[in-house]
Amino acid sequence: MMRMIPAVIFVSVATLLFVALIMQPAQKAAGDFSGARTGEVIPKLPLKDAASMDAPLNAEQMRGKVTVINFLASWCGPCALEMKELVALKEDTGVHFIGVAWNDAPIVIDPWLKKHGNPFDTLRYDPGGRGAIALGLRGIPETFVIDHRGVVRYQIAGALAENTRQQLTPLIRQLQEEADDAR
Amino acid sequence: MRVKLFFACLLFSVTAHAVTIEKPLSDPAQEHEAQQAIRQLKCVVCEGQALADSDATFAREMREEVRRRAAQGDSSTAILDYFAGRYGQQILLTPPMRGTTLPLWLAPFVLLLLGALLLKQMVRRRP
Repeated sequence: MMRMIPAVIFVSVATLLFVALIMQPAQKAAGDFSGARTGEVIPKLPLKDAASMDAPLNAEQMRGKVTVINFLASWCGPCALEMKELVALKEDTGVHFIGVAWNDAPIVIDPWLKKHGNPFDTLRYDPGGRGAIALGLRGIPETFVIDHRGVVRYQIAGALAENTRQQLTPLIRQLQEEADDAR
Repeated sequence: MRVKLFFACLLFSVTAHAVTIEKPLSDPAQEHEAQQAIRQLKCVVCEGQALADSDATFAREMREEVRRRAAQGDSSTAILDYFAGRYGQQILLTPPMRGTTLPLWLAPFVLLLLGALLLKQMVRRRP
């Protein structure tokens, strides 16, 4: 019995490691736009406007239409790269677009948007990161697609590339049809 | 002389570290709850670093959010639940003891016990 102890230790450790490995979250498949917030009603985001006045966003304001919220900053390289895809997404779908500038100022973000493209109907500011924390952001850029009920349906961490924009476009159109049917 | 100068520079270089001064809450009990929560959170933008140790902008903002909630009367447990609700349990430095994390908690004790049994067996075999 005692001779089996080394073998028992080895099997125990191997089993624990195997269990830990299979419990790791699997890599996302292409076109998988799920995230930690998908399926949840968007929480109230304590944001500011260009005059630094309180200008929160909440689910009630998004009812009845599909909304895309994009967190960005002028000092973020990938954010600059994805702007042309966001502009194309806006042109393809006409979706309501809200930009949230994280730790950035109007005096900097306005010329930056003129240079890289501006898909936003509305721009908000998140100077203290409270909006980012409320949504569980880990970095920028990050994009959320909200349906007509205020529910987060898709979440894209990182810069939107051309192929992901092409996958996302029909999904947004489908949500817009749902919104039209619900009216 | 150059060697002394080199070591003098080395000594001062470790003190030349940018420190972010953060104002504690005026209520000591609330600051205590905030500190309890801060000590148990990870920095989400600095892989593996504790929130209390990080100088990243987002880490500072997270600490501000912790203090804001403590100032509103939230306990450290409520604050940790808030962050875990947004970032998942992996934001906690100490994982909670539940079904999926039970192997993690029990493994060290099991291995220690098995190791002790093995040692006992080896000692018995010695002439």
